[in-house]
Amino acid sequence: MESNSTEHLSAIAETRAAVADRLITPWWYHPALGVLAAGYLLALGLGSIAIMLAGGVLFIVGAGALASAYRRLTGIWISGFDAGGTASRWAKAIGGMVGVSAVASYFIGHYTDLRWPVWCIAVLGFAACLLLGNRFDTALRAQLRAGA
Amino acid sequence: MTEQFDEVVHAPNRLRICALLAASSSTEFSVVRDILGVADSVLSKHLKVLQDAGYVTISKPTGRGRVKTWVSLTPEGRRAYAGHVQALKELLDAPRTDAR
Repeated sequence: MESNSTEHLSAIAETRAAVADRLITPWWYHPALGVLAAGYLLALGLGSIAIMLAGGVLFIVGAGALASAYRRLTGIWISGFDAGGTASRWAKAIGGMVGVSAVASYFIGHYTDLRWPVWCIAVLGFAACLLLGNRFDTALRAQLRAGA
Repeated sequence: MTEQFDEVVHAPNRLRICALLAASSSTEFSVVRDILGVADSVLSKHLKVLQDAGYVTISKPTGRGRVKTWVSLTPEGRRAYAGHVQALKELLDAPRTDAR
């Protein structure tokens, strides 16, 4: 029975490793997400109500299209909420970063005369999507290979 | 707390299906088939058992191009799988605990 359990746990570990092997994020995925986030942050900081709304819609639709393309290419979808562990923390960090940046961009853009900080926030948003997105991928694959 | 073996999950192919689905939010049918290395009919049979137990949901989203079948574990399925894996681990740990 014990050897049976060992075999079953090994089979689980092999299956999880096979999932990790298939999760190869396309090179353009995080840059595209970064561009969407940066565009949204610019729209919030520099645009009128109509542009802010359009930016929000474009961000949501674009992120959905990216997720859909990822699903089609890999045949697997792992949402940040389902990932668990360190990977989930990186996913939450991306969400939190976009949220905080959006608030900062809006207030700087609409309550000050400064425009350059909004551009800086947008660039930082783009870079953060790239960096944190790659961290998410690395953590997710490590978790999957760590076994049951 | 001692976890329970789950007879539905216990079969080797179903255990691997659950392991794969537990690691993802949803997975396409052909990916599950390829990773398990089984025929479509074998996978369909096991998925039916898991679906009847309320452990998986199967969806066929419509849209452009060929319709693909997506499979995901239900919250009940995740609980059953997690309990089963814990029971397997406890079984391995038990002799070491007794030896102390």
